[in-house]
Amino acid sequence: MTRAERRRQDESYRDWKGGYRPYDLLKEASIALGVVLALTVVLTILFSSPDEKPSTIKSWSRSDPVDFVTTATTELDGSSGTGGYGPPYNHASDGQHMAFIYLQKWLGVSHPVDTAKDFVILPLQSITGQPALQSAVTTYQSASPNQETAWTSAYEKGLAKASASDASISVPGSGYGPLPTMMDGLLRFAQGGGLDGALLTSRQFYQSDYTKPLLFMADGGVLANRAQDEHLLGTQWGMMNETGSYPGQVWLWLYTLWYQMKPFSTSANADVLVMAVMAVLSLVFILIPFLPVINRIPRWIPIYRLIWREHYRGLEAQPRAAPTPPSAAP
Amino acid sequence: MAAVFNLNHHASYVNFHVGGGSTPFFSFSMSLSNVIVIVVMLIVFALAIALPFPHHEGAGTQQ
Amino acid sequence: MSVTEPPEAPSRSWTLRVRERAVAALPPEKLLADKQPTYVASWIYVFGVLSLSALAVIIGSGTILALKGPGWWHFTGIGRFFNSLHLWSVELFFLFMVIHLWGKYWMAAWRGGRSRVWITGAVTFVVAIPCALTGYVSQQNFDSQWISTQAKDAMNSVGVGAFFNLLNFGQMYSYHVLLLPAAVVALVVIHVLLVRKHGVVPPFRLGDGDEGTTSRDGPS
Repeated sequence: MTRAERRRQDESYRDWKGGYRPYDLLKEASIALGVVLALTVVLTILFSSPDEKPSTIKSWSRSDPVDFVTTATTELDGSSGTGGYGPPYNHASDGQHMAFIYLQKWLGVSHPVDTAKDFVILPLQSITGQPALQSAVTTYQSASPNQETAWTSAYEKGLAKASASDASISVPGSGYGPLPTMMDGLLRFAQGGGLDGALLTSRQFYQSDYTKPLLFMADGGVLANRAQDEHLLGTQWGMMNETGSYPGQVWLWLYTLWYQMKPFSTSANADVLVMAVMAVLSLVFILIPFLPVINRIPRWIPIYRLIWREHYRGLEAQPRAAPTPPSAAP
Repeated sequence: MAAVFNLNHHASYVNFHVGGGSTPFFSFSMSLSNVIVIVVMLIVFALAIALPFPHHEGAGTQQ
Repeated sequence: MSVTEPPEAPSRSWTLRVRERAVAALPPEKLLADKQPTYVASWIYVFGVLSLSALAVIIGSGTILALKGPGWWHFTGIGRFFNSLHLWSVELFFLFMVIHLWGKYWMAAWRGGRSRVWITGAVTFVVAIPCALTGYVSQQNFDSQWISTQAKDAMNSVGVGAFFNLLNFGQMYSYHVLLLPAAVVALVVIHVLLVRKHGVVPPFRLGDGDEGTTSRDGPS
């Protein structure tokens, strides 16, 4: 079939000149609404919905103080996930890219986060009545960058062997400078609930932006441990899952599928690559009417014969008329 | 308001892997609830096409 | 119907021109039709109106949740009830919409000048996904914490994170309650009006084109 013939054929389906029968559109819509409402109510009564309480910096610092302090130390020296993230939080890296396309970098640092200042120094400086703590912060800040790094690196090594008891930690070894005092102060502040508030309201009283507390928690293990338990990790098809036994976002199946296979599963640029693939596939999906082969498949695999079997049966029952050539409707 | 069936417990999963080692070529792991939703969709689609639609009186009146 | 008169110069009234175009495209008997083609005789045809109904339940339950504010449903049984209605109507919406989509694909429902019907439907599906995502991150529970901190990487990787911050509850709530539902509803309205305008796609003629050379057919 030539393209012109295909176009004519397509045009010939514009109008229906055949039979009609009575139909109550509003009644059908009302019945459908009633059915769906009833179904939704039944599902609600049977299963309800999940609501797992959020983690807080307070709960995190109490249940896993070693992880909290370790994370805080990596925020201080910029080696945390957020510290090395790049845009939109900082310039520490270029972020993800696809060949020469660096969208993450090009869109810039629009939500600046200085992990050392925002997560450690400023909260500590807001604590009053603790001169030894303030003195430790001053000592840290007036040291050279090399000295600061020496302290944090040594402390991180010590933390790997740290133990927790009764919500406080003990880190073996020495050579950590002011860090034990600073981190002890931060831990107490966090365990009292002060750090949650401080991170949220650092800009102004009224806030609805949880970027800082969430980035801080995401840099540690508190959210990931809960997520792994609930099979919500990316490697566990977590995007589609939900907490508990609830169905999740099932429609994300194709999106999460790519993360499970190479090269995406082992690439540092997995996110941008998957987004690119999904952008192309979404465009294909939207443009199906115009895509050769894809738009002919319904003719070749005749599921339509089942759908319209009543209509075809009706045609068979009619007396044969002279065949009318398919013509374009005016 | 408690639900009849409490779904706030660990889900069951349907798993399989293609290729071994620490990073298999492809691994499939879907929660049972999601698998059920997908299977229900396929069954409903098949039924929608296969089940006969009730006839109306006065059908096929020519315009 | 106007009396036949010699054609006049087109009216300079915007209102008149828009009204005449609208009425020409969608006369009342098409907009609220009381008859349908005889070939509409399969259960697959109900999935469009089922999707619409699910959307109505989503909006209704969502309106109650919006009226009471984002924290309400965590602390009362009735709040949890409406949250559950909202969750299950969303699951049903996607379920019915996907089945509707499958049906329309296998019917090649874009034929006969109906490509915009397909396009608006497909775009609705694509837009509904971030609409759902903004809902998930607005729940203010562990789910929101996890989903937002994970999905942010995808947004940031394509630069969208620079102006669409999943960790910003205020922004996400605004997108979820107003902007994205408005987009979905606008698309659905256009989609439904296009269906009313063009009618439901007629069946394939048996023996048409790829299947053979003889055309055995009813009226087309």
